[in-house]
Amino acid sequence: MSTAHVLLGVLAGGPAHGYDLKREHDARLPGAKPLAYGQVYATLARLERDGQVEVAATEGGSGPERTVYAISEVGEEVLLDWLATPEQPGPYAAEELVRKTVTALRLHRDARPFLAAQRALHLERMRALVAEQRAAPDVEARIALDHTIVHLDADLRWLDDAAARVADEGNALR
Amino acid sequence: MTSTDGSGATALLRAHALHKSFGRTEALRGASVEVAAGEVVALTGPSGSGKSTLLLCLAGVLRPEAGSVAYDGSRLDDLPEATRTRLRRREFGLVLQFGQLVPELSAVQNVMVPLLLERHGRAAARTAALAWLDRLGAAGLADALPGDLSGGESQRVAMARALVTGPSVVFADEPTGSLDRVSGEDVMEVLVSTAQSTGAAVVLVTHDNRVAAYADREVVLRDGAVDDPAVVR
Amino acid sequence: MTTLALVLLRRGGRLRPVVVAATTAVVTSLVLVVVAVLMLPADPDELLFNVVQEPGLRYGTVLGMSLLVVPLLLLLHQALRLGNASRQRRLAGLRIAGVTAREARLLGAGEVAVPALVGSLLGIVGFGVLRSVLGGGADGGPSLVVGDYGYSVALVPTSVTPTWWMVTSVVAGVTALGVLLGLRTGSGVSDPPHGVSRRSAARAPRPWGACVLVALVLLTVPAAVVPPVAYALFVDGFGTLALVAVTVLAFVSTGPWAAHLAGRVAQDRASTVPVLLAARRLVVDPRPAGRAGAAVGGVGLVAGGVGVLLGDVVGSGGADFFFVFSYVLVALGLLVTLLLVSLTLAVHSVETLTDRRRSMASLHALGVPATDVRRSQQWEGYLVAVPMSLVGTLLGAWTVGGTAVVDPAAGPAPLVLTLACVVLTPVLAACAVRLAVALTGPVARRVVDPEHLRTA
Repeated sequence: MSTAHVLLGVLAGGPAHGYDLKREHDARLPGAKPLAYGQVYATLARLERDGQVEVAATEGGSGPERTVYAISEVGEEVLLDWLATPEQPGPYAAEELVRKTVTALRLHRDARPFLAAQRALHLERMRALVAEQRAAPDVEARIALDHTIVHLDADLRWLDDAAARVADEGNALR
Repeated sequence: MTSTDGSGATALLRAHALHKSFGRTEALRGASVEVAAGEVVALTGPSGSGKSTLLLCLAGVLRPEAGSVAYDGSRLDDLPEATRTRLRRREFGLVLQFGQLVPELSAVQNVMVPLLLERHGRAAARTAALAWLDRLGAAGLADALPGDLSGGESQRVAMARALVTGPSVVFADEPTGSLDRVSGEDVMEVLVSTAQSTGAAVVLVTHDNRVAAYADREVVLRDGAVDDPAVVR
Repeated sequence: MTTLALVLLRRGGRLRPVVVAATTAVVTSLVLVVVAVLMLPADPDELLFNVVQEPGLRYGTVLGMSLLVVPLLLLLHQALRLGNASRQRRLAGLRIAGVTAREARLLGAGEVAVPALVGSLLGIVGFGVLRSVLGGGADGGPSLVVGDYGYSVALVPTSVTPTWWMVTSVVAGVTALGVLLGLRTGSGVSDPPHGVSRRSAARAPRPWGACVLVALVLLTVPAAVVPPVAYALFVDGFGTLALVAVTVLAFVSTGPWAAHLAGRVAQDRASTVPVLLAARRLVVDPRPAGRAGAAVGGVGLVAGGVGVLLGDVVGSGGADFFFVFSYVLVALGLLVTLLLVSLTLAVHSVETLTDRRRSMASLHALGVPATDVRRSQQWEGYLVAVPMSLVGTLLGAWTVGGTAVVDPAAGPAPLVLTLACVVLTPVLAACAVRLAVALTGPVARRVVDPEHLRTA
């Protein structure tokens, strides 16, 4: 899980408190699942334990007390290390889509209505993402959305191929 | 998304039960589709499913053997060739995947062609063509020959040519098919946003889901008809 | 390799080999006739029409016959360009499949050599036919009876026969010429093993030919005033020959420049699609139409000159059979040339239209009527042929007649006949263009077929 690294990346730009970190994380990765507050603080606690972040200040005021974190030298090293290391290309777990389709086909049920409905839903999501991308203010946001769109596109192509194979099979049986 | 019909009463373009063959190949077998004014519709489906044929029938370029195509409430498929040609140049614009620009004509001259046909006069046609090239971000290409343009630039010029007469419908057959993803996105952005701002409907043939996602609605074709998974074939 | 060559020959379409064979056949026949005429002794053992019979006139006849070869070569050159684009793709594909550049060149040459050789051999047969139809003989061969007199109109000597080595060299020469032209037009085919590369406009043609023509006209001014110069240039055999050769070369190189100029002038004024398309085609690729225009200009040149001479003859009351039939022969030659030019234009149109079928079909889909495509071909022809023929005719009339045309002493005949030529030649040139467009009608209709819009 690289949430820690993304947060380190945000902190590398300057000290911030938990709420800012969450907002910046979500803004940097549109189309991904928003970060939960609990996760932000858990991660920060772990980073602090490992000496990668330090408490820079504690802001008081009218509201609750807020801790401002900054990246440490160790943290910077860890961050640069992470940026320089390529990721494993897979394997990825079979998705619910695949499980459902294969199960349906094994039971000799017609998978096409499911595939078509799924395609419509996927395209709907794609449309929303493309709209979001068209409205995106900067190139970083568009790039982040590209990743989600391309993966969604892979699913869509898989759905198309599956539908074509099921149709071919149906034609062959007739 | 339902695939067969738009909002029936206000359909600008309506194809009903089209059949069209090329030699022994049956490209269309009873395809029906409706397009509302200002709507962006994507025709998708596997290769050979009849998408391009349906597009060309809707655009009044091809004539279906059976079925009907109506534009703005009146049939266009049974009009004589000359009348359809005039209708096409006033009401429709067409963008293809590649190779549509006349190689001898400069970019601006290519865009002037539909205006000259409507007898706008040279100077007026040139001014309007330049304005459209400018609007599509291709002002600097006005005097370039198509052979010197990149794929994305050619498509911008082709779109300017399709939009210059202020058509009600722009037909685009794989407009991004020869482009990389980023240039393709660029072309789609320009096409859809310009069409939206002029109120033109767009009928789009594509096999790229990302391009299809620019449309308001998708119509999936399979074996020459609109795919309806509820019907077991 | 041979099998591959034969497959390519069959795949390349029928029109190209047919036109190549036909033109080389006619060229071979013509050259053989010229050879036979040159072999004639001063006093031939047969009766022929005067222009062949009399040694003094023979060289002019040979010159005229040789000039007829020029439009034939233009047609051959144009035919060789037929299907160049698809042949380039085919050979590029072969290069990718492992054919070497040298083999690709050989295959390209083979595609021309076979029909050119077949044509040249057929040319021998053609020569035989000409001999039997237009051959002289003791009785004078074919003759025309005018009044009480019969005149021989035989043009092909039969008392002399080209030897086997002459015939062989003519056949070899014509075939080699075909192959050379083929290699020239097909150059680049064997170069890089890629698909179609980007193409931008070629360099604009230069006006050198036009400069030479202007110089020639200026030269005629002293000639008109000083008789010895006129004699040296226009009456003396050598001077005439040199003058004709320079003029032909000047015209051939003026054609593309004039076509380019006509295109530039027209494109800035074009307010209709056909004119714009025609003008741009001329600007981007002025050479094919320009060469045809040069031939038309040549026709005009001869027509203008002959018009003046005819006016002279009619004016002086010396119009006997010899003169009339000579002029009929010249007129026939000019008409044949115009016909060949329209065939050249037609072949060129077929080529450009097929090359551009996708953009033409998309123009049609955009709302350009199919008739506009044909009208653009007509304009392309008119824009070059009409001015070139007009300039040619005026130039011819001026060179031969000078100010004598308007000499009141000669009566109205010279002026009327000259003016008739000046008007008639451009009209005939325009007719040739129309004929060319009519010949390619089916192609023009086919290129706008929406079939070409499909991507597959």
